[in-house]
Amino acid sequence: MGFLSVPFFKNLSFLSKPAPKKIFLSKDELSKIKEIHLGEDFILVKKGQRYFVFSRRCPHLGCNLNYDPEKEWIVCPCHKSKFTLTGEYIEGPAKRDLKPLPFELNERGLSLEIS
Amino acid sequence: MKEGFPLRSPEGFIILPLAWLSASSLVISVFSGIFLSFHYFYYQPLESLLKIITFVPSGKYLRSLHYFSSQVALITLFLHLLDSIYKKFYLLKGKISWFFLVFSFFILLFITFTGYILRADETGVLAGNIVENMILTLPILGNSLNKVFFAINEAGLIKVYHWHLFLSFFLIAGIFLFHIRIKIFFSWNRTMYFWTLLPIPFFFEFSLKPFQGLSARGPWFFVGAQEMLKFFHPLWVFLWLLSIFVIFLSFVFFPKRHKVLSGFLILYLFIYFGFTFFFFLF
Repeated sequence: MGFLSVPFFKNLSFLSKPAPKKIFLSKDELSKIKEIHLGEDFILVKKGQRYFVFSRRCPHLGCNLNYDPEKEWIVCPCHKSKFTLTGEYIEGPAKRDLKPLPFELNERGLSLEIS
Repeated sequence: MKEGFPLRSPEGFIILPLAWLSASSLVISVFSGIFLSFHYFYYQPLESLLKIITFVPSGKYLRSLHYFSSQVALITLFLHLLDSIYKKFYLLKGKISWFFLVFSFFILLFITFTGYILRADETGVLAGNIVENMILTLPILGNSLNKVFFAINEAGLIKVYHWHLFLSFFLIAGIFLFHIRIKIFFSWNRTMYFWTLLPIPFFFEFSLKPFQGLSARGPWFFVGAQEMLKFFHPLWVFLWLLSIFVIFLSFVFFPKRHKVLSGFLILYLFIYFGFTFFFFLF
C-alpha cells in the first residue's frame, strides 16, 4: 500500500508549481530594441522583421545567459556554453539549442508566457 | 585540565587550536545569523540584504562577521578532519561518532552553500540554479530531493532558508551534545578565539557580486566542481562530490587500509584543487 502513495506524493508537488509568467512588450518597447534584449527570464532577438524568443536559462544547468557583443554570441557565464543569436548551439557542455518560448506578435506588441 | 578524551594517539597530538577555532567561529556564525535573520526575508532576499548593509545598525559588520566566521568554521573543520585522519584519531572513536563528525562537515558545507544562495546576488542565483539542476539529474531520487531541499524555481528561497536555519541549530546542538564539552569550551582561556575573530570583519569587505558579466564564479569551495561541469555530465560530478564522504567514512570501517584510503584522499584533493586552479588559469 505504501508504494501506492508514491505517485500521489509525486504529483502533489505539482500543486505548488507557480503560475506561468505572462510578459507583454508594447510596440514602442519593441521598436527600441536594436538586436537583442535580455529580459529577466527571456532573450528576445530581432533579426530584420523576425523575432526569436528564448528562455534565458542555459539548457545545461540553468544559469542565466548573457550576451557577448564582440563575438555576437549568447554565452553561459557559468560553464561557457555558446549559442548563436538564433539559439543554435555552438560549443560548450550544453550540447543543445536554446529553448524557444511561444509568443504572439500583433499590432499592440508582443506577448509571451513563461511556464 | 581534564579534557575528557584521549588527546594523544600514537601519531601525535591533535591540533587543538584548529578545533577550538572551528567551534568558536561556528558559535559566532550562529549568533550573528540570529540577529541577521530578524531583518532577512526570504521573499525579498536581495532587498533584505541591501537593507541590512545600508540601514540596520551594525548590519554591515554583522553580515561580514556571519560570512567570515562561516568560512573560517568550514576551513578549520575540514583541516581538523584531515588532522584527525592523519593522526588516526578515528581509531579512538566509535563508528557512529566518526560518522557524525564527517556528517557535520557535510552539513556545514551545505549550510555555507545555502548561505551563498540566500545572498540572492548573481552568484547566489546561479549557484541555486546549478545545484537544482544537478540534483534533478539524479535518477529516481532527484526530483524528490530537490522538492525537499531546494525547489527554488517553484517555491523561491523558502526551503533553502529554513534548511539553512534548522541545520545550523542542529549542527551546533549536535556538536555540543556529542563532541565538545560546553564547560571546557566556554572557559576563559578559550575566549581569545572569539576576540581574534570578532575584529577581522572590520578590516575586510565581503562584497556582493550583483553582475558578473560573461564569466561568473560560484562559491570558492565549488569552483572545482564548476570547472568539472564544463567537461563531465552533472550526475558524475554530483557523485564525485559525494564520494569524499565515502572516503572519509571508510577510514573507520577499514582501518587496515589506511594507506590506500589516504592515497585516494590525496588523489581526490589533488584532482579537485587541480580543477580549481584550472578555473582561475583559463
